[in-house]
Amino acid sequence: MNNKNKVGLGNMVRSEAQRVFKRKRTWAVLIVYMAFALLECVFLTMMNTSFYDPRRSVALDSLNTAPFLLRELAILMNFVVIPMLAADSFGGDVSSGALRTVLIRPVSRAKLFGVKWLVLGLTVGGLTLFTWAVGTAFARIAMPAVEETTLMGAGRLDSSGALGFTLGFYMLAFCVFSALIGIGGVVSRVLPNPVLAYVGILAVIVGGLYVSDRLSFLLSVSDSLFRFLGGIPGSDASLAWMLCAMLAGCAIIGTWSWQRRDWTQ
Amino acid sequence: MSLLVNENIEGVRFARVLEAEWRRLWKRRPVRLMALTAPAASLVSAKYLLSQNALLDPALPEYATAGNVPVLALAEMLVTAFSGMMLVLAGLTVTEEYRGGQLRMGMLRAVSLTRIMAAKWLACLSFVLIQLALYFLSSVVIGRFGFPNPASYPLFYEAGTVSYAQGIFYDLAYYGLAALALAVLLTVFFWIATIGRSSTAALGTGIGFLLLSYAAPTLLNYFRPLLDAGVYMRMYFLSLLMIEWEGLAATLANLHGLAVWNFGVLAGYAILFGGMTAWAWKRRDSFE
Amino acid sequence: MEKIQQRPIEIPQASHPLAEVGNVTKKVRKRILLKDVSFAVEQGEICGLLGPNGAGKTTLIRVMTGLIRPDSGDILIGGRSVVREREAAVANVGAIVESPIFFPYMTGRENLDNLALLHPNLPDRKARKRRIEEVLEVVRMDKRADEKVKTYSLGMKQRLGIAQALLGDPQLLILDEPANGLDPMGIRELRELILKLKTEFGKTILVSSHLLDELQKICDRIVVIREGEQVFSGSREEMIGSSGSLEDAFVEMMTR
Repeated sequence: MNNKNKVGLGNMVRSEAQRVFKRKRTWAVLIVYMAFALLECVFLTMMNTSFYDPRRSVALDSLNTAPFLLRELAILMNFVVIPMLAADSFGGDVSSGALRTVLIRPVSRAKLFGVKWLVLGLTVGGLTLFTWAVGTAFARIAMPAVEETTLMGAGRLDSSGALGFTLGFYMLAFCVFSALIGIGGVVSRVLPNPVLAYVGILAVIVGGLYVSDRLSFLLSVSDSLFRFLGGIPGSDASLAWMLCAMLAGCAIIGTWSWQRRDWTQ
Repeated sequence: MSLLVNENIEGVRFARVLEAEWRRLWKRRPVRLMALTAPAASLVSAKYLLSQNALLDPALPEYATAGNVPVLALAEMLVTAFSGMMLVLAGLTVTEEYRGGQLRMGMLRAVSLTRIMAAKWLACLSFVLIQLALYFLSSVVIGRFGFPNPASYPLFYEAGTVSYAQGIFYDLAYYGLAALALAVLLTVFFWIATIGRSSTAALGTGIGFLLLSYAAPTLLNYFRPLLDAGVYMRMYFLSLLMIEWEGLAATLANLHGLAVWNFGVLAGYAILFGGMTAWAWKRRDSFE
Repeated sequence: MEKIQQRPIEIPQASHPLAEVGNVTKKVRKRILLKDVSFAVEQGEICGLLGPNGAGKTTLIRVMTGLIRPDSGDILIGGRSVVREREAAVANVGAIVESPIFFPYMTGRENLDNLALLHPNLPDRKARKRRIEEVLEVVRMDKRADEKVKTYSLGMKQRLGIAQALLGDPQLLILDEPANGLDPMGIRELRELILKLKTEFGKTILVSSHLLDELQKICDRIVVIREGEQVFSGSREEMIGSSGSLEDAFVEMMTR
C-alpha cells in the first residue's frame, strides 16, 4: 500500500479527539480540575507556606509558588482525571463494542493506540500547562513580591531563572502524567471493563509503593520531582530512568498488544 | 393461607432476591479474582510491617507483634484495598447494570428496583465481610508465625497493655468496628453509583469523596492551634476516611469521649446516604 | 446515488473470487471455534452464512475482518491477505460485526463523520460530507441522523450499521445477523436494501443468519457451518438438491 492509500495521522487524531470530547464526562472532569486549580491558589495565599516534602517546608513568594500547586492537584490528576480518561478511552469504548467499528477500518492498530495516548496526553498536557500558567500568573499577582527566590536544588534564582525552573518542573510532571496514561493503556488492554481498568490503574499507583520506593513518584508526584531536581540522594534519584523505562515499556507492550492480540469484545 | 396469598401478591420473597443477587455477583470472573485480595493484601502488608519494625522501637504501639498484626495490617489496607474493592462492586453491580439496561430484565419479574438494590447492597456487603474475615484469619496466622510474640504489648492511644489472648479480643472488636465502617462507606458508594451517569464517572466521584475526606482533616490541621483539642478531634473524625484510618483505635480507647461521637458520625452517614439512595430508587420505581 | 454508480468497480481477474477463505482454523484454549473452513465468494454475488446460534458465524466474521487471527489458514480479499496485510485487505471490506454498536454519546451523523476520518479514500472534508449524505440516503436514515444513537431503535441501529459499512465504498460487505431484532416489515425492507446494494451498486455481500427463509430469498450461494465445521458450500440449488426444500436440507445437515 503506498502512502496515498494510508489514513493521515491528523485524521486519526481528529477522529479520536472527537470521541474523547463528545463525552460529557470528559468536560465535567476537566472543569472540576480547573476549579480545584483556582481553589488551590486561594489555599496557597491563605497558607503562604508549602512543602518540598514532609520534612522540608518553604515560604512562598511571587517567584517560587507555581510548582507547589501540583502538590495537591497532582493527586487529583493521578487518582481522578487520568484514570477516568484512560479507562473511558482505552477500556470503555473497547468493552462496549463500539470500537469494533474503528478496528475494522484500514488503519494501523499500533497507531490507534499511539493516537489514543497522544490525544489524552495533549488533553492532560493542556491541563498541566493551565496549572503552570495559573500558578505563575497568580503568584506574581497575589504572593509577596520578591526579586530573587530560592528553590531546592537550584539555589538562588532571579525572575527568569525561576520561570525556567517551574517550566522544567511542569514538563517533568507532564512526563509522569504521560507515563500514567500509558499505564492506563496497558491496564485497559488486560481489563477493558472501565470499572476494573480504573481501579487497576489505582492499584498500580498504590501497589507500586509496595514493590519499590522508586515507583513512589506516581503517588507523591511533586515531592518526588523536588527531590529529583534537588539532587537529594535516595529513591527518587532514579526518577528519570524509571520514567523512561515506564514510557518505553508501555509503548512497547501497548503497541504490540494492540497490533497482535485478538479483539474478542 | 391468607399469609401465603399476600406473599404472592407482594412478589418474590426478599431472601430469593438476595440469593439471586449473590449468585450473579459470584458468577463474575473479576469478583472471583477479587476474592484473592484479602490473602494477597495481608501478605503484602505483613512484608511492609516487617520492614517498618526494623525502624521502630519495640516499646511503641506501632511496633508489630503477633497480637497487633491484624490491627496494624488492617489500618494499612482498609482505606486502600477494601475501598477499592467496594468501588468495583458498586460500579459493576449498580452503575453498569442500571445504565447498561440489564436491570430491565429484573423489573419485568415484578421485583421493585428498591428491593433489588437492597439485595445488591447486602450481597456486596457479604462479599466484603467475608473478605474482612479472611483478612483477619490470614493476618492472625501470619502474625503468629512471622512476628515476635512478647508477653505483653501496648495498645494504641494508651489504652493499656495486653497479653496475646487479650489482644486477640481487642483485634476482634477492632474488626467489628471496621465492618461497621465498611458498611457505611459501601452505602456512600452505592449512592454515588446510583447517581453516576457512567461507571467511570461514578468511580471518579467515589475517589473524589475519599480524597475530600482526606483533604478536609488535613486542611483542618492548619487551624489546630485555634481549636480546643476535643473539638478538633471531633471535627477531624467527621471524615469517614479518618474514622477508618485512625478513628477505630480512638473509638476503642474512647479518646476524648470519641466513642459515642464516632458512632454518631457513622450513623449520620448511614442515614443520610442510605436515605438518599433509597429515595432515588423509590422514585425510579414509580416513574420508570 | 449516481455518484456511486459512476465509480468504476474494480473487477478482479475472472479466476480470482473477491473473497477466499482458506482452511481457517481457530482455537481458544482447547475449544475449537472454527475447523478448516474454506469457501470463496465471487464478485457480485450474495453469499449466505448459515448456522445455528453458536456455530461460529461471528468468529468467522471476526477472522475475515481481521479482529482475530486464525491459528492457521488465511483469508484473501481482492487477492490481499487479511493475516499478513490487514490494512490493504480490509480497505475493500465494510462490515457489521456481531451487532451494530456505536458511540452512544454521538449522533448518527457524528458517528459516521468520526468513522469516515479513517478511510484513505475520503481524504478531505467535502468528500466525507458527500459520502455521509450518500450512505444515509441509501439506508434511508437522513431524517433521524442528527439524533443521539442511544435514542435509536434496534432497526435504526442496523441501518446505521449498514451505512457505516458502506462509508469506504468497499467491494465486499459483511453483515452479521443484520435482521436481528427487526420486525417483519423491517426484515422486508432490509431484504430489499441488500438486493439493491447488489444490483444497483454492484456490491458483493456476505450475510450471516440463523434464519433460513431470510437467506433463501436473496442468496446466490450458501455456506453452512455447524460447531465450527463447514458442512456445506455451494449454490442454493445444490443445497436443495435431493431434499426437495431448503428447510429439509438444512435440518438434515444439522441432524446428520
